[in-house]
Amino acid sequence: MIAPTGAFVPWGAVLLVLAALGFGAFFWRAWRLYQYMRLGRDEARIDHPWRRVRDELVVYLGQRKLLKRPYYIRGLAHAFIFWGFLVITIGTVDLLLNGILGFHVPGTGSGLFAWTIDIFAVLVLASIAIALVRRLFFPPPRMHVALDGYVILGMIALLMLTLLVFEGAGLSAGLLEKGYTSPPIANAILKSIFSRNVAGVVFPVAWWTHVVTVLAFAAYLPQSKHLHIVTTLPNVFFRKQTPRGQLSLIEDIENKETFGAASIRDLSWKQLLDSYTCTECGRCSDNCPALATGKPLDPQKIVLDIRDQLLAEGPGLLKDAKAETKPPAHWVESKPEELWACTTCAACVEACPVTIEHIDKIVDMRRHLTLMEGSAPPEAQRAMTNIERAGNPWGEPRETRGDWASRNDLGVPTFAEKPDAEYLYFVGCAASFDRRNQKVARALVQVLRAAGVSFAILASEETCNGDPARRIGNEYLWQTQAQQNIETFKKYGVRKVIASCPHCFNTIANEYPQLGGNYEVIHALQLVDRLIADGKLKVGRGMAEAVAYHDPCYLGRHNGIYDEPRAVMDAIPGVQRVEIEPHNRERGFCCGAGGGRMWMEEKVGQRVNHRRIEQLLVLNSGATKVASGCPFCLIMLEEGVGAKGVQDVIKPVDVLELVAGRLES
Amino acid sequence: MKILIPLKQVPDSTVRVKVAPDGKSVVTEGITWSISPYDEYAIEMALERKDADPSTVVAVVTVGPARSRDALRQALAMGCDEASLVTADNAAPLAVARALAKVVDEAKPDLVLCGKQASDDDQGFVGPALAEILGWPHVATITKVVPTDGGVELWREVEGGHEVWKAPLPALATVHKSEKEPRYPSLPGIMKAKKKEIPERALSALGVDATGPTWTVLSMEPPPVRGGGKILKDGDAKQIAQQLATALRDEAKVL
Repeated sequence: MIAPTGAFVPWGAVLLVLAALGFGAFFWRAWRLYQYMRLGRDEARIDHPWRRVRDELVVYLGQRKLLKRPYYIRGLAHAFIFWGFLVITIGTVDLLLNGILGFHVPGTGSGLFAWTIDIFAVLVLASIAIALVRRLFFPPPRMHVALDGYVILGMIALLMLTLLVFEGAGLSAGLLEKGYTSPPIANAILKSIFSRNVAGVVFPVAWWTHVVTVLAFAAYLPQSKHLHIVTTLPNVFFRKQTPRGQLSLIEDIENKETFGAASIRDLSWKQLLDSYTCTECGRCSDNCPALATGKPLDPQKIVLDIRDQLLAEGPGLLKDAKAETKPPAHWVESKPEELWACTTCAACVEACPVTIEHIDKIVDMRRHLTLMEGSAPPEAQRAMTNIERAGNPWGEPRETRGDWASRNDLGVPTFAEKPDAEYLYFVGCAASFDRRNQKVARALVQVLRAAGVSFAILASEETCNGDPARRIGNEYLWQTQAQQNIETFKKYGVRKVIASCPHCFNTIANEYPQLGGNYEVIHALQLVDRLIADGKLKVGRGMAEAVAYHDPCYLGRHNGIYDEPRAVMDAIPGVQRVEIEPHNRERGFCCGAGGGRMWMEEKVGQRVNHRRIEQLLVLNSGATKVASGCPFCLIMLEEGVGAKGVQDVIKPVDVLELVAGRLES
Repeated sequence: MKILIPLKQVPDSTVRVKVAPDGKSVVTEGITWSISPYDEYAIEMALERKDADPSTVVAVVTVGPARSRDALRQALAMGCDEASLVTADNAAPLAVARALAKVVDEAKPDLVLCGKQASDDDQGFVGPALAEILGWPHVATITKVVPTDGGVELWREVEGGHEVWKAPLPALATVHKSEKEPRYPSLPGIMKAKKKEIPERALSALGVDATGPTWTVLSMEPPPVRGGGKILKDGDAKQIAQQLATALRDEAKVL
């Protein structure tokens, strides 16, 4: 390292005072923010410690969530700035320790360290240039471009420039310490610029500018969104390790008096930490189907509103814990329409580089609206009443639930008739009552029979799994529905469940365990994939056709089931699979039905399912079918092709129907 | 203002009604019961008054079998203040109206709102009969109630617009629809309703005259099963039109 020598020593005291001021300001503010965060309710986040450590390495250090489609270049630029920060911080610590106390961090004299520092200084500068050009000339539409970002980028650039300059001037002035490797890039480029005399002046100026900037940076950091460089560390560590598709359980619900979130005090400390961690990058908003189709929802705003509310009300609440609080700003500004627009598709959660959990906050706020105020949209209330009274959101007679299976001599046995069946086929409301989806249920029956799978259904003893109610915020209705099913499962000793609906699949697999219902749950397409792989199911050649695959959110993003449905399609001779690029796999675009949206009207903006059909049409892929693995996607796609007038061009189907149409007996 | 809503518990609209083996009643085993939809509208209309003026007291009452208690709980969960049950099995409509008149005498509401008819037998009898027994003004099938000095304005939808009637209080109206859909109960509302006391007494204890004109069900049968549709597609437009006319005349017998 280039070290200040002799003449600098008396300045050590000045340096000490400056460092105390810079870091003092940092820790004072950080302590306040910590206290505000503790205003949130308790929430345990220490399960799966090793997975937490792994995520820290992969997501924080490895920058995994930044390096994603379609953000590779910006992501890499960010990663260089971040890794540069980590390396150069070691140099900064060394510089301060040496300046104040006169000793070095071990290893800083090595060639490796000198090379690393200089290479990263240059990479960081290049990355800053990319970031500045983007901000100035191609600002991403959803990014919150504010002065803060320029201040931070400017400070980092100044740090790198002063570093290289004081290194170069220091070398020229002969200040390289004994046994230290000369900083290679400064040596090659900058050393020769400064004559020995000039260097004697430039070096202290650059050195002090660097040090003062470091300390100003520390003081400024907690006032800025750049604080994420610190908060991401705990935010990744304490991220949700339970399944993404699992919402939090309200325990002992019958004896509680308040439900959901109406103020920042009702949010958990982790939800508040999320709000500090938001970098305002706007990737969540970029990927939100509601925002993309003109709805008032903006997931980034949900998070930032919480932060602003916390910073505004935090000081008052610290003085008086019972002080009056207001609901987060978006309730006042655009009413709860924002909250109701969410399809819980998890595109935002998937896109967030710092593991913010948007859906949980939205559902907590919906819980307040639904459970406390009874103010869910009227159509959603109708759906909930229907679930309560008839066990399905359509309000079809409960006792006709099994009719689809007895029609057409299908003769599917119920568990009462076949108590030794290996699998329960949990049909779900859509396949039980919706005519289009009854065909899918029949297709699955054919497939299961062809493969010799032993299964039975519950017919009128089955009731809605509760998913729409839970996502509308009606935790109570979800619990009563789930408990009813769990009781029925217990009665028949059900251990293995097949679901053809991803919503049934998700809630039974990931959420019923919260109420003590533990089963081996498999989605129909996972099972079919396995049956084909095991040679138990033979699929013959049918018509050659190109079929696009639409990822259902509750299979894909919520449960990571991307490959099995594709494998099933690829195993069908004659079917050529088409990807709906770039909106496929983890970037799949919602059909618009999730989060209880199936049961609400969609009057604002474009309908989400119509946008989805446009994405499909613009590909011009020659696909004549679009296949999904979800009854609600199917309903939405059917409506979409009808509305777009392309029902003769592209036909929505379920992957199961592709298989059932080509079975070899 | 105190508003009383007499309500009836009926088979839920999602229930597929089946005729019982006696051919004179419907199967009630294991079915879902709920508040008759027009009564729900009456409750919602009263609760909207209560939202506007929190001093409003909303009470519900039903004359029916013991299971009707659940319907009263539902009304309490929606936000009604009081509920009472008069137990009676298969009381004749006139006896129900007379029993309700007793309840009204005791409870002294300013306004009685009834659903315009119950969704099970669709008779629409009890509301007007109750007004007649009480000697109160009665306006049928209202959609809105607005308090005025010493009375109420009662709005009715008519072809192409609406009528506004004025009535002094006390008055009775039957409700066609409320401005908003009947509200979904809040969870604290449901929990509070579970704990609320619902006083109960038998119809016989009211000293009501249960005689007078009444009716007897002779038989009940389900509507005929609907046959499948028929698509005419052979021939040109003229031929198809002819086939259609023939089918309408000879098969459907509507021409």
